[in-house]
Amino acid sequence: MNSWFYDKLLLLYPEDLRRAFGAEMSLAFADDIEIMGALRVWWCALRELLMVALPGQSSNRSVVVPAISFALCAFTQSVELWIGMHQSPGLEGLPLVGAIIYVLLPSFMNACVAFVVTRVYANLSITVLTLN
Amino acid sequence: MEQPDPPLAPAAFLILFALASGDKHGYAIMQEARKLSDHSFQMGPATLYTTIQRLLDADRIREVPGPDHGDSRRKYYRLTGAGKSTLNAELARMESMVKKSKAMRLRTAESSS
Repeated sequence: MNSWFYDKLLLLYPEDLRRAFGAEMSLAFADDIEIMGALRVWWCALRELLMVALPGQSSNRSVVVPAISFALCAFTQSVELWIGMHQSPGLEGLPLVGAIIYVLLPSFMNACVAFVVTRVYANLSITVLTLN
Repeated sequence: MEQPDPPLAPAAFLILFALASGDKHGYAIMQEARKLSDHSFQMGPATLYTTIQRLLDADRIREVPGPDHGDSRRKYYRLTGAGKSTLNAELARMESMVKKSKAMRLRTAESSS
């Protein structure tokens, strides 16, 4: 399961790196999970996603736009949650998993929509009208 | 006058250092690098292979055939002559820095003992 998710995550890495080392990266990830434990390795993988994968894809709109969309949505959801927890006493007892789902699920959906829209617009030829 | 190499990034230095003791595949390099840094440097697969790609392009390491009984999916890497020189130059640079810091008494008696 971990390896399956990591293989999907590799799609966000630059194509040349993935083509040359994708199989080895998956193998190293699976080996590392066995030795270091899933939580630690996933934390490292997510950090690398931000530090290595996204900067490497800075010219690829299909990655950058969903990533920005995800980050903005996660930020606004977190702020909303934080305000909610300080304003409404009922939300104080919200479990951590609930809070994570509340932040990540809409952000993920937003990123998916942004991805689809970017792909659709990339395939459309848009004519810019000028008023002369 | 020949320009000295700029200081190596930690990941590149640890990969070259890990390969100094012999040919290794990617994951073995990762483990050795952790050991060498006393587990203070966390290197994941992406950092490892991006750096390996850079070192291959710069001819500091090269791919070599693995042992016959090994996993055929794993690629093995070896230090090249240029890689050894780069590693030695970096170690010399670090040694010189330590000497200078001692001369300036930057390290406390406790930490240097």
